[in-house]
Amino acid sequence: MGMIPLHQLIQRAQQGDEDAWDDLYQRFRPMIASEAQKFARHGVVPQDDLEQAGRVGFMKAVQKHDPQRGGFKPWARRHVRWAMGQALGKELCRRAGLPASFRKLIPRIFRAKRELRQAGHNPTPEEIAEQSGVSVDEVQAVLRAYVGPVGLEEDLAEEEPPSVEISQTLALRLQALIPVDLLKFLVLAILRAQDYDWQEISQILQDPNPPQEWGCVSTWYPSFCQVCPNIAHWPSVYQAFQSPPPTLTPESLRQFFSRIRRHLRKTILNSGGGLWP
Amino acid sequence: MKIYAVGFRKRPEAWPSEWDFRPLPRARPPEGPIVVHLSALKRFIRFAQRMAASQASGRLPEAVLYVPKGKEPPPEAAVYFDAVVREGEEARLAELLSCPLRLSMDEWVEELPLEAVFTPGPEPWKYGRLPEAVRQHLEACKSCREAFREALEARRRFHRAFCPDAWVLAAYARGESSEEVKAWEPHLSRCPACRVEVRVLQRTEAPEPVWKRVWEKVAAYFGMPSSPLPIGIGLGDLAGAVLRSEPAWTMGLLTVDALLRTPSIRDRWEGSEGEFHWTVRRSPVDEVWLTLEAEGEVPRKVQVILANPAWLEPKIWTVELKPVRPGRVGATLSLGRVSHLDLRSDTTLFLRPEEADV
Repeated sequence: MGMIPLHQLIQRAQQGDEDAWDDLYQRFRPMIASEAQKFARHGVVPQDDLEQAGRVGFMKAVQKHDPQRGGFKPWARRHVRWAMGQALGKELCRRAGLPASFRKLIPRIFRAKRELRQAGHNPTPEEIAEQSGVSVDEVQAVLRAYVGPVGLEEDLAEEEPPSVEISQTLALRLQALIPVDLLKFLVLAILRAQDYDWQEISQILQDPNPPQEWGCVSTWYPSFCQVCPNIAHWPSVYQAFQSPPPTLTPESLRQFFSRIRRHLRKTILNSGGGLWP
Repeated sequence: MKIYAVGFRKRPEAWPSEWDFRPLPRARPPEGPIVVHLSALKRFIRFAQRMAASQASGRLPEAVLYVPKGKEPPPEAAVYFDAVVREGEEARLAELLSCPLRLSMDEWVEELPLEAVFTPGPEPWKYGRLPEAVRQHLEACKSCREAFREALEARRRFHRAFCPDAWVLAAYARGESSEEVKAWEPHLSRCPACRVEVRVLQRTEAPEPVWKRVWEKVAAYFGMPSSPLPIGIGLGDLAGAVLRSEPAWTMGLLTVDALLRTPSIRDRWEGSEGEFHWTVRRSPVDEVWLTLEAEGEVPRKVQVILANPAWLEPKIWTVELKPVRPGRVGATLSLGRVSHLDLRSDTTLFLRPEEADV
């Protein structure tokens, strides 16, 4: 029996086929291991941990892959490298006693160091700080934490693969809806993602108090909150569902939701594995 | 099927003559889909709102919006219409009106539980709370089956947009309990797609079990297939899994540390037919003894296999279990001195029934 084509495997994995996931991991394990080996040469994060980070990056790559936007292999490699870079940066920050968010600035320090070296002398932390725009203390902390081989900045500077924003096409199609319909639709989609049935959703929407999970909405769905800022504000949500046409019975909620999703269907079906760019 | 037309000054020439359109009734709800010309949009919306308010279900009438060339459908169309058809798309209109239930297929897909959405069989409509009449209709109507499958795919893909990021899944798989992971827990416990990904992550993230290489060696020695090997599960689970596929049980992990820390290790293994109790003891003169007791329908002759990856072949003893007390059989075996056994952290003890007993 021949090998299953990659695109089919990805599609099956996106649909929740566990065997397809296993097969994909087996096929890409050497790539993840080889990237981990490259990152491990910095001597900051053990190869095993880098592989672990790479596997998470790989999972993200499978979830978000859209065949219409290019081949899977470079896409997966980019996700894997980015994930490993994150792990490396986080560990460096930990060693330097700096917050994890500082990892974005580390490549700047090493780039400045290299540029100054190329200019012909061994730069001092003060010179690096001036060149990179980072404080001297932070430069010193990072330089103390990392004494490995050159090339760290390239590995850390891997650009984040687009994954946290919904596709522009979908955002545009959503914004074309009347604001109150957009709000109602996204609220229903969020509640459906929690697997509430229509009867439960109907009850939730008739309560002026928000359901427990509503406090996390802006953390969970930043891009949807960007498209429709009122989602996280329950009084606005409650108010929206009081507006005509009557949309509070389970049947009318289901009809309303299905109709808008059908309206967006072309975007959804063309979006490969998800609604991401 | 009754089809109603609203806002058409004259019948479009491209429409087939067999399409029998009726004017919209004023007082009662329509008994079929309505095709609404864009020019009659506002009138229809008032009518639809009136109809929805007068019904206990609050449902809007099923309707298709007909948009003439050069015009664009307004944003309201998404809510008040099941579909938008442009002038010239008569074939699509015919398809939409070909069956009275076709326009409601998206809604029936909503009635499938998430489990069925993510693991659909060849006939996904058999799951969930679909009325029997709808199921039977789907069996017979090709057009509705296509609409149903397409709606199912759209539901599946749209649902994933509301699933957490892989980092959250990985943290959850590792058993972390940060605020973010906790917040996602209700979703993670319900969403089949996320559950699969968590399982996959748990398997791939788990360190290689210490007994894996030992088991491969033992399996090779006996000419048994070494895979599929259970991944990332505890030793007790391994025993169960191996029992189901192969006639061998892992007895436990015998380590130098454990033996030095305590003079005995004891455990039991419970199978469907009986149960084994075993104890490994270190005597005062550093000799290691295995005591086996079993009750129920267990094999009476067993091989005890001690293996570690450094050995060329496992050490094997054949033990016959004899009655030791009412309802119990047992045996005691010396495995040798600690200094001669080359015990390491991955030394593993397996139990294998004699072929004749299996």
